[in-house]
Amino acid sequence: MGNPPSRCLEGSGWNCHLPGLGFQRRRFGCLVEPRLARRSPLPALDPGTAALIFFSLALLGMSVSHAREQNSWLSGPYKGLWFGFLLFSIALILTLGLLISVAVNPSLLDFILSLLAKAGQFILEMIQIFFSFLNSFFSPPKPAGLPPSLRMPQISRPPEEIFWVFSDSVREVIRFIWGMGCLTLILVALWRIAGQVFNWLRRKLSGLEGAEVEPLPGAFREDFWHLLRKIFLALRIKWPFRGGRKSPPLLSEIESVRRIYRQLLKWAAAKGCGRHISQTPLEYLQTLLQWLPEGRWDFTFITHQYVRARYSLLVPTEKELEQVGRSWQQLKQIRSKPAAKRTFKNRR
Amino acid sequence: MDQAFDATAPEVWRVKEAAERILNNVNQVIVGKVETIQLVLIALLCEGHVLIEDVPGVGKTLLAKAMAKSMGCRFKRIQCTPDLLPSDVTGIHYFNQKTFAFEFRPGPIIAQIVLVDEINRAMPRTQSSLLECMQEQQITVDLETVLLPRPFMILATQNPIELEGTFPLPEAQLDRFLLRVRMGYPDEGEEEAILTRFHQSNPSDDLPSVLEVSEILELQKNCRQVYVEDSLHRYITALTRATRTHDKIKLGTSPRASLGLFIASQARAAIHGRNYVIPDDVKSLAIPILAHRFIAKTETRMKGQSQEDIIKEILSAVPVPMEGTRRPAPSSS
Repeated sequence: MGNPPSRCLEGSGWNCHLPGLGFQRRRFGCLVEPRLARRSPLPALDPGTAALIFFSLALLGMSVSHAREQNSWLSGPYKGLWFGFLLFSIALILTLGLLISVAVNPSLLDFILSLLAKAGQFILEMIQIFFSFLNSFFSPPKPAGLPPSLRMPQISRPPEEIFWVFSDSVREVIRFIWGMGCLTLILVALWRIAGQVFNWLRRKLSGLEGAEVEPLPGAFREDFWHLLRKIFLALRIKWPFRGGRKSPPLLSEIESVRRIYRQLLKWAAAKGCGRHISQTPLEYLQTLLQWLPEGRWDFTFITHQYVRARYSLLVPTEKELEQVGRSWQQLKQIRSKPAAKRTFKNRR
Repeated sequence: MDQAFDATAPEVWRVKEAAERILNNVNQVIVGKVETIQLVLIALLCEGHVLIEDVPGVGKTLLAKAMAKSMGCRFKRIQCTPDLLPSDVTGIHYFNQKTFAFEFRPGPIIAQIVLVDEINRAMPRTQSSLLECMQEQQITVDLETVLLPRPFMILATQNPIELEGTFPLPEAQLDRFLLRVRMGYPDEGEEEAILTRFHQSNPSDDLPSVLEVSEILELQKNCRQVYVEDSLHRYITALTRATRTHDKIKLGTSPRASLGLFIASQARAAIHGRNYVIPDDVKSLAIPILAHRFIAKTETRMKGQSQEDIIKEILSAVPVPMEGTRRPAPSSS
């Protein structure tokens, strides 16, 4: 109590030693005082002097910390403003401290603490009720007791009034469902959080912070599937799932046109006239016509039939299907002939 | 080339036939520029608005007037100047001293085809007065809402050079234009043909009307019946979403752009006599519909890359849905 550091701490803590306030708890000061008293036998200082030293040091610290900046109150044009601001904040803190010291007394604190304790007790009771309700679903542990003694008189236990009795098997099922539900909830929560984190990372990595980014529900799932696919590909394992959405079953006529077009694409790609991913069928047709002008009519017919089968609801007729097949055969024949003998006959 | 394999519904053929009528009629005045005329027609069929942007003297205003005359619609023109006020566009309530009552005097916006000439010369508040009528086809004057007649289309022109004394259109305004088209200079033969046609008189003076208003409304309905396959829905959204993640773009296109691309593709298919959309419809409309709706980054503009160049990059990166094309990976790179 009699050394300056402890007095300073008292002054900065609860105990201000102001006359007439009557609040002498000295919580912080009481904890620190004995240790400091043993180490620093300095002469005593009254709280006013200590506060003055404290604020002078603070003022010096602020000035030093801002001295590196050009607009420090020490050197810059904001000298008056900084000093005024500092004095104002000191006055405000002291006034607030005084008001709190006046308003808060032990009885008020006790009242507030008792309210908090009651609220806490109420919440604990509610949690206990909830857990006891959940516990009622599970069977009580079987007592590993001794066999009943024959000499003891048999006491007939009154039947328990149980609202609803589950058999053991039902309890097991409920327990399993309960466990799975909890697990699912946790997984969903983790999933959503991971999705949000991925979104955030995606924006950060793309340098799109500040731009309008569309929310991507399911982005994490898509990324996850993409990653799995890559791993399977790296391990040379066939992807066991069908990619993308399940498309509706196609009619056989449409499917046969699409199949022939797929064959055409593979054949042309193998021969060095592959399609770029951004080319439409009609754009690719122009590439094919430049590559193999002899197949002009067949390429055009197959492509147009494919476009209609692929993007419309129209089903090709039997005659058109036969013609598509013939055109494809014709193209294969053109390809098998030597280049010098290739001739194009107009079949219409 | 498309017509060779199309056996489509009669409604769509009516659209095709009407489009050809308008094209032939407007071609009497505008030499060449078939694609530009088609784009304006597409906007009309989609109930959209067109921003015609090009240098002076290439026929922007003439195209707008010729289109309006060909369709027999009520036509009004607003010449935008810096002192033009919103009330000059929408109309005012004035006090009639004979009847001792306030009466509404409609502005030039109450018409079917409105030519807003040099739109970027009007002040922002006057430009903003067009927002409501462009999106909701109505105007509100002194708490009174007036519905605009159908069909309603705004053909706005602006000059991309000589920006002194102009007010660039804000994004909200640009987004309301379905298409931005450029006229471009005519080639040598076309320019000679222009001289020949305008030798004695201006052919736009006695341009006949080839389409009735009721017919236009019916054609608009027919266009919406055109089938769009599911994979093309995804293709359209992939294109617009690509603008939102592209590293050269600061602010991507809105969902309104996706919708615009969707219905404009339907209209283009109908004009070509098809009752289904193909990827070529989407690709050919991507630049006019998307290019004016996003903001490119400053460094991109400094490098001299235009918005059209960025859309071309996106078009060459997004896979077209067809055989042999995998679905695009979800990563945003």
